[in-house]
Amino acid sequence: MRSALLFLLTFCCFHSFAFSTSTDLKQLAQDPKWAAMLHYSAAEPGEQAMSFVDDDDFFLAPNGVSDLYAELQASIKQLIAKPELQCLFPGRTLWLSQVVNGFKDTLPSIDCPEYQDWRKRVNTDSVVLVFASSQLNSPSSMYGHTFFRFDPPNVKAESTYLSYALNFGANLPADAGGIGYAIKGLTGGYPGYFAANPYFEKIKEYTRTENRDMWEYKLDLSDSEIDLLMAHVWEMRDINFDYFFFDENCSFRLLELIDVVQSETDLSAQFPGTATPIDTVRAFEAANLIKETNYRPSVMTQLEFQLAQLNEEQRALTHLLAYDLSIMDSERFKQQDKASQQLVIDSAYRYLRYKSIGNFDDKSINKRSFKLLKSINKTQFKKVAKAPAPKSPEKGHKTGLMALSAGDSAGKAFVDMTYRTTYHDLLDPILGYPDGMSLNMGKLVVRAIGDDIKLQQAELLDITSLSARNLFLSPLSWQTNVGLERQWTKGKDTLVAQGRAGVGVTYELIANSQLFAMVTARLEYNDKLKNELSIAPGWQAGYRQVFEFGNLLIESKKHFVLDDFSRFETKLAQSFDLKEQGALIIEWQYNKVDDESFNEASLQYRYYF
Amino acid sequence: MKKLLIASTLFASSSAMAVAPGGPNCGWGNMIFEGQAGAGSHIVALTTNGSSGNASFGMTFGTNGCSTEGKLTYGGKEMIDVSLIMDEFSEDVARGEGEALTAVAVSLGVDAQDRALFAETLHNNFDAIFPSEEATTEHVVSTMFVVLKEEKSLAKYVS
Repeated sequence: MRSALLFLLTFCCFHSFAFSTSTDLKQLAQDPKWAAMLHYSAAEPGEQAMSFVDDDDFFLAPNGVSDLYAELQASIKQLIAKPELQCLFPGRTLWLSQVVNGFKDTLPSIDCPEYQDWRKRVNTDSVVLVFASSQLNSPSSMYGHTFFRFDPPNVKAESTYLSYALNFGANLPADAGGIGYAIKGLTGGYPGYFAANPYFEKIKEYTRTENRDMWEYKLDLSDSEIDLLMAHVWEMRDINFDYFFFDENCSFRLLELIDVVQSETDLSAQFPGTATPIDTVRAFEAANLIKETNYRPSVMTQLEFQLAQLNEEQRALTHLLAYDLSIMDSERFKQQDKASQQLVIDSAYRYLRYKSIGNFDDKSINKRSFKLLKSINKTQFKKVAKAPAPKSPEKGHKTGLMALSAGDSAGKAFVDMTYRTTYHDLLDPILGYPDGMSLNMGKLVVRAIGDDIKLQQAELLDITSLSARNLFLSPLSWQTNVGLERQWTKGKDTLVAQGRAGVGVTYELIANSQLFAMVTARLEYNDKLKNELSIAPGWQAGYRQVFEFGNLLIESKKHFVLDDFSRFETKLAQSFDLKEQGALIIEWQYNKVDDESFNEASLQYRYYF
Repeated sequence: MKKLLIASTLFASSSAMAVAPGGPNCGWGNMIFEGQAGAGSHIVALTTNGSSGNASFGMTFGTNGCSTEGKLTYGGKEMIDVSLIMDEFSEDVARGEGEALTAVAVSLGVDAQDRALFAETLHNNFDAIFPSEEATTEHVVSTMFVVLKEEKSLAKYVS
């Protein structure tokens, strides 16, 4: 009786294509592509599947946000009854026409001039995934960023400047700024939208303003997949998703877009938690979606590459020339061979352009830039080489870490188990990562020692940024760390809460090395101290060398707990990169607390996942 | 390649654009090195990858007051808004190659086989197109048109 009624209802609603029965449609509603098109999350068992979309305009059924079948029924019905909806939902219309028997024949045809005009203008022939890599001294960029670029046919011979870049990001109030806004941004406090720019604005933003290298991955999609993708992208116009930094972020939304056209790869389901941009690039690669890779160095990378080709005298000339154009007439300059002269002028120009970022009102920089540009115009006789691509970031180690170490602490054997959510420290294999950067979140170390099993460390955040100063650049190096850790305090191994920060300088005396020194300040909560909450100023200095096989790190730090005592620590560590997502680390540490001292030595195996 | 004396023609042609394309604040007065904003000082960009203002979906340019969608018309010809890429464009013209230069050629409809000549022509006339660091977009574009008109096989793209 019930099914007969259902049939009758179905028949009333979909009289014109009786061959799509309600059973068929119920089954179709479970098609992964339909769920992807509605941006449903992969539901946990026993949990109601829901769409990530936070916008009523996106659904045609009142309960479409949580009912795939209802939305499917409503879509079929309303796209026929109100043909103008086809212009708002060309993706659904296209897909339903492909999979629902008779739907296409029943659908009243309608012109969608706005949509068609957009498709014509964007004129997409290929889709490129763009990764803007992390940059050492800009926390906002540290995890990188991804977006899509849509290229017209024949883009290689032409220019990607006019290509269409599609970016998912939060839409911020004009007065947004400050840490409160940042925290709100972490937790979905801002609406997220897809927005488009011409690609050259992105090139300027990343390679010039923010000095970030860009990686462009051409995707292997068929024409019909691109057609459906573009139709679906149009549906996302002005549709709001709340933006979450860790999971529902820029990179996650792109995965969902690919799931619409390639449900078999099921990319978004691979990221139920944090979607770190570079990990999502790896997912594209693992699904064989990457056809071609192109590297676009930042202004700074290009400058450093050119400076590295010059000898010391030529580098000095470059720096002088940037401030005094008469150097070009000097004997020192004229002694150089023609190719070097050209490179000196070109590098001085790039250096000035770099200096002008954020400083474009400085008329004297502009004046000298222009004069150098004129000289480039006159002396150009050989193409200036582009900085070669380093190892691409998706080839680097994965961002999750589990480690096991065994060692001896003050004569007692111990075993440590370490888990780190993300991302990269100064001993991890460097390939694919920016050098001198350590960025870690959520690290947990549990130690078994003697008969005890105890929490050794719970680190919330750890950032170290070592950028070398030289004739041209004078960046500051800095660090910050927040978490729980064990400290030997007055004869007891004590778990303390601490936060510390430091700032200082780094120099590169030999290639691929960093010699650094910082002043530090530490705030510690420790009930064994004279004052439970204490401030401890201090210093930290060290040397790091990157070898082909791994990294060497030697560092010492001291801090003076005010009105109490001091701690000193020296550490020597060498890592060896292993082939399959692994590394071995040997480490020796000397600690002196007040007038007690002890050693610790260990061997650690790291596995990245 | 002949170099051109164009100062006089310049004034004649610039009057053709009494109304700035794309609206009055559209960057026709932009100079070569303008528009290099500093790195985002907003900490909020840390967590959102977002930007202030309205998200747009066409290719509109929110930054410099233009009401166009990435393209302008100049003398009835549609082309890329050079005011947004003055820095890159001047550099490419100085070198005689580059993506900004190609983008301008493509946006003017210059055929693939004429692009080398297009690049060379602009390269050889760098001094006229960019007389100083204070050259405005208006000057750059109008001079470029004059230079191109003088070159037989390129004239068709700007007339």
